[in-house]
Amino acid sequence: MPDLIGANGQREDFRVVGKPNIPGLTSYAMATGVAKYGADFAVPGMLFAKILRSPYAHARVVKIDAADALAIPGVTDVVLWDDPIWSEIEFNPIGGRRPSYLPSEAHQEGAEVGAVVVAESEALCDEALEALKIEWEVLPFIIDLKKGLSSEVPPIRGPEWDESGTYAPPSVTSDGHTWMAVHYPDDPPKAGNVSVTTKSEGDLDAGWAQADMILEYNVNLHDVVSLLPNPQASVAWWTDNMYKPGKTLRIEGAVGRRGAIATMYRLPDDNVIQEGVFQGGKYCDWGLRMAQEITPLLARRTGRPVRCCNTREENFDLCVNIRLASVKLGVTSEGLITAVEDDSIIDHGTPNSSEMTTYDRDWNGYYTLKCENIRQIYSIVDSNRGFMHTCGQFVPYSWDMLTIGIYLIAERLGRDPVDIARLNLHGPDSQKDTRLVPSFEACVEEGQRLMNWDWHPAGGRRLPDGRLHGASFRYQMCPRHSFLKYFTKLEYRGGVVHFPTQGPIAGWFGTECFTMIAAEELGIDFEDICVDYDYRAEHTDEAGGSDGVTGHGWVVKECANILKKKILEAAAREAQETTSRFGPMEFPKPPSPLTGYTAEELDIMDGRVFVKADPEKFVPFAQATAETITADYGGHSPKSAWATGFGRKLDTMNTSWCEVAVDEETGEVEILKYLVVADVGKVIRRTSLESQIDQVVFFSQGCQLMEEYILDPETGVKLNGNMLDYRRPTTLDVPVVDKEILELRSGDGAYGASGIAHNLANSHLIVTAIHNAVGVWVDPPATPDRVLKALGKCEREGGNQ
Amino acid sequence: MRPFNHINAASIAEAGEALKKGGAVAVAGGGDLLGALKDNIFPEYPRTVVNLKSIPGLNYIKFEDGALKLGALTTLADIARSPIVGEHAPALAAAAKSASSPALRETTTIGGNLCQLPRCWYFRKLNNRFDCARKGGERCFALTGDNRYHSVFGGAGFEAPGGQRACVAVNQGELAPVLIAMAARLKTTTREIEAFNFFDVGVLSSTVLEAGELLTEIEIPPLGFAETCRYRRFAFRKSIDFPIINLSIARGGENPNSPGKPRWHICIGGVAPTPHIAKAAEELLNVNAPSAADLTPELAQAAGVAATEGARAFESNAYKLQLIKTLIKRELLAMSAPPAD
Amino acid sequence: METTRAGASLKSAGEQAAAALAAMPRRPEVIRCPICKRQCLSFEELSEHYAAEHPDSVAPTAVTLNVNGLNCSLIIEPHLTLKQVLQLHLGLTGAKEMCDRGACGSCTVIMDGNPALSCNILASECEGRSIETIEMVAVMPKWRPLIDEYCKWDAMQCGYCTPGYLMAAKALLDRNPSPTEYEIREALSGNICICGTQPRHSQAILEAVSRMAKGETINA
Repeated sequence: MPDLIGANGQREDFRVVGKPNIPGLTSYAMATGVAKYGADFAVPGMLFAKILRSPYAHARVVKIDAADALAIPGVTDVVLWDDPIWSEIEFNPIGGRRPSYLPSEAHQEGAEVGAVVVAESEALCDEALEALKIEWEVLPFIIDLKKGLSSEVPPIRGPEWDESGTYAPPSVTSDGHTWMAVHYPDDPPKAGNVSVTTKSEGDLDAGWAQADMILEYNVNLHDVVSLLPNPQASVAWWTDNMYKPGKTLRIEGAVGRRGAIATMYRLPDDNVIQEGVFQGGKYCDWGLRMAQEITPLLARRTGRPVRCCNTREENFDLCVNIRLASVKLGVTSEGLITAVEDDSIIDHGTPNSSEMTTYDRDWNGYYTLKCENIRQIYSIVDSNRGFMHTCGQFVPYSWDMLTIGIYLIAERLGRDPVDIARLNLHGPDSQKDTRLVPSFEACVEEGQRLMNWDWHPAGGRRLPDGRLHGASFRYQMCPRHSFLKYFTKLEYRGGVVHFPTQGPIAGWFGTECFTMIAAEELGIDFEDICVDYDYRAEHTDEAGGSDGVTGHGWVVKECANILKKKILEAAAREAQETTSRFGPMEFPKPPSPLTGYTAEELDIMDGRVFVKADPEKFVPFAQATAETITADYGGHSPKSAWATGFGRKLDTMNTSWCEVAVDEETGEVEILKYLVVADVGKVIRRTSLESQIDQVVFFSQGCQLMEEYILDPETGVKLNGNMLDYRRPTTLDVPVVDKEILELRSGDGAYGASGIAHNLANSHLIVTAIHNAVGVWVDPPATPDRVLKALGKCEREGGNQ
Repeated sequence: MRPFNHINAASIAEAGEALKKGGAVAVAGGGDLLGALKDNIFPEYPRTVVNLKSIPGLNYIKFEDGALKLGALTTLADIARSPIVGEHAPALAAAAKSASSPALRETTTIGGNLCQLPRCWYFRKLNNRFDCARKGGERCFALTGDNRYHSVFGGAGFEAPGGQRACVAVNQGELAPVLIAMAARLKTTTREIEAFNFFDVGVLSSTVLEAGELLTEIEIPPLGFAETCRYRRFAFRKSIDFPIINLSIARGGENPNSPGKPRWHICIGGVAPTPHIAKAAEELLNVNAPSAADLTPELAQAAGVAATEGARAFESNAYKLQLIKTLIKRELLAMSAPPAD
Repeated sequence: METTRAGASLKSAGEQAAAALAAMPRRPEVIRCPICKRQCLSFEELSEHYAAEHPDSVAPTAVTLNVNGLNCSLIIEPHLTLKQVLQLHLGLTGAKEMCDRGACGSCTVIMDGNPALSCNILASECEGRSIETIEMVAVMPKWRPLIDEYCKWDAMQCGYCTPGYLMAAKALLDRNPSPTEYEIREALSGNICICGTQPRHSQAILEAVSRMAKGETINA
């Protein structure tokens, strides 16, 4: 059996793991355009479907007259919300429940509602939607959370929309901490549109009493759109398969969700075929869209393949909800935090929206403090702003409330925020641990050196070109998904190691990392492993980002060791055989170089199975055994700090550093320098690790300087649901991101690896640096208009100085 | 996109005839129209799209009798790359090069850039969601809504029940300010007009073009403006974005206050329903800066302030006044700096 | 089923691209009415059928497109963009739809030697133009170092926008075989990668430029 204890730190020499510039397994397919994503599938004879979208922020369809639409030549079907056909489809097990599959009530502008049209072309679908005569009942809506807090506002959703999952009790970790809770048992019931939930630890009164000063500040986290790159789309058709009972469903575009589709259509998994593996970027946005779910239903109804593809605006789902935090810190004159109170107003989104923003209380930065007096009060407001699928990459998990707090303490005391952070950071093992954290110290040392770190107070430095200079620093622990259980199977067949995986391929190069780890452990090269992308494979690359890869990588490492042991056992066994068989015939067999050795005396390296004591005795790895050998392993790594610690244990840390220049006359912010010093424990695949750092800094830059989800205040209608008015940075806008990667080997993934991705997306480092430059706070996104407004340079009358 | 018929016009006459019939729209580079069709923003969806690119002889850049002449179908990329434009009207080349993005510049045309519809997000919202004044409705939704990118110099007036109202959408074209500052003349199939007058219309259209009338040529006369003209734009991103504000400053012709000296032209885009001529700033400079050498930092500052005269911003777009002041000041200071060797 | 032997996929991707090019229909196999599916013998017959049976519907139009050096005669709906025709009529999936408004570059092709956004061009206006797609670039030995360096430097994550970036890069290198780093970023500035690989492209392209300058191609 695999060595489950202590295996992480043992390997010192790496041949494969950590190497840069190894092309991804599917990179050539992606680069050359032959990789097919959901929207790329086209089937002869297919019909097209489009779903009616609400033009109102909150409205109910009362009546639809589809006669004119159906009269258009080429329009084949209009399916209304009250058609019995919708009961033929189950709710997606990883989505939420609605009163009916296609609802008659829309909770945001653009929500799917009331009708689906099917036609010979997409253009005819548009024509049909235009021709529907719809009677709407327009309902009151909430897009301003502060207004929504008022008890005067009538509830915007009826009891039929209340999600049962919302009020589930919190989970409890092995060391007694609650997590992933939306509500705690003592919380009052929801009143109106607001549910209030409180998580309180320690003794706040004692904390305030110890403080020499109280620091109060607001952090307003705006909502951000995931902008999944590829249109979420599917094509489905039904076939008869002579080998399988019942109908077989072929669906392309619901990549990674074959099981969910099978459940929805009450089919055995085997009766659902989905060959495409390219999912497109997901950024932890795991939900299937209605366009990906309904094509099998429409295909069954029409007897033809059906394609349904969302437009860009229809793909404008949130990946962060609004959170308006009012934070109060008790601080001693030395800068030690003694009490934390975070009173936040949070957008609950439309029904069934992800509650990742609400889980912030459990996965957050406050627990990295020595201070144990922490109270978090969340007022969660139902709204009609937008839908957030199960999502998390951009949610900063309260780290930023703390980053800003540390910065403000430093400003108040005239001290370097690095020192304030160090003073408050607890030791590696618990909040009571007063030791320094080695990973933090290593990151800070490198960061200060590479930045020529020279702290100045806000407004304290002007550049030769006249702009103001600002700098900022933040720390965070490196996250990982190691609380999940992972499964891996490897097979030695015909002299080759096969790694069957269903993908999906979404951009984090997880399978490549796993293949590198397996090759490392098996003593063979990366290129020697054959990765079989097969939708039927049990292995799924869904762990997500570098953090998932490291947790999952540990399991792959164990699996590879099981396979290696089995191969050596088979090799030793076969080497003892004196005859070989071919059918009924038996032939004498020449002795093998391995004859006479036990499996324990053999090893594998450089494509050879050899005798450890005498490496000249070997057989090629491809001829190790004629047997087919399978190894599988499911589980997770022995300790997983993210699951049990949430900041209370500190192993692998990272720091980010940023310098900006602010033009006070135009409000423009330029990122002069951006450095990430990360102790990732151990690098698995260097190039994608670096690429992920580029990615999260890009996300941060967008969130902090450009991206804004804009709704019309009067109607709640989205005003910038396109990529012109919703801005992501271009190649001319992005800064060069300097990266310094440390490997202290203290994470809990394979070889002590840890993750990097989640924790740097949407960091408030840039707006903190802006404050350090200009001395006033600018809520993100710090677009020039907001910067100028914060600087008081928005005279409304012309002709004035 | 909903279905439409399509004609590849072989001549100006054919295009004109087709466009005179109701329900037809013209397309050149497609940068503006296709988005509008996809977004289904027209109250009456066009039955026919008339392609102008198939008309021969409208894509040229030439320098004749001292004047720079550009066919209406000349692409922005060709203008940006043209040595002729680079020599005689470098600011026009700079403006063309800063429009949208490299690939889009290869297909979008100067005519299309001048004729584009406003970018107002109420006007552009899918499926004609807001029945606004530009569509014959009775309201401007931006007036009371989110108007952060809208006019700071008042709106285009229209009559509505209860009295006169205004639409505060702005002209965000990349090339309009530079052409107006260069005193360009626009030729259509029926007339020749000054560039500014091309945009001087009410709310129901964005140019003076009538049904069936086509823009054919842009001519920049030899008055000195083209050589001295400068162009500056401000946008949130360094590519893809439309300008939030763009402006051109040029000197040419005859200074009414200082005979024998050139006069100043200042035109600002993105701040008013039409490109905005900063008259007070022009006058200030005509009087006080007959030569570029007369520009002092104080005068540059004062000209920036004068350029905002008459402006009344909303709370959400008052930043534009600050930008106008800063950009005018900086551009003038750059003009006053001795030329680098 | 996709089976990938690590490291061997440039060849297989090239073969798949070649297969996609070979499968491009040069003319419609069967002419059917897009509305009622009636089979017609010619475009003229289809037009007559429309006039008679579907007088209120927009009739399809005939167009010959020169794509990757091949003339393809097609019968298409007039509103279809070049991007849609490449996918739905010619089976080429390399030009991708992301923003569908000319604001992301994912659908970039090369038309008459210049980069062009295929989502923003009506196919019915492309007759007589020479259109080049990523599939063609994928099979040209000259460009293999470019694709190879993109893969080596992970100048892609989910890969969806990547062909558009490569076409913008190819259009640049066609015009300027030794660009500066800034010229590269400028040429790619109309492309948006949602995964945030923006800072990674210059390095891949510069490495490819240096390999291509040595005349290197990869034998696949």
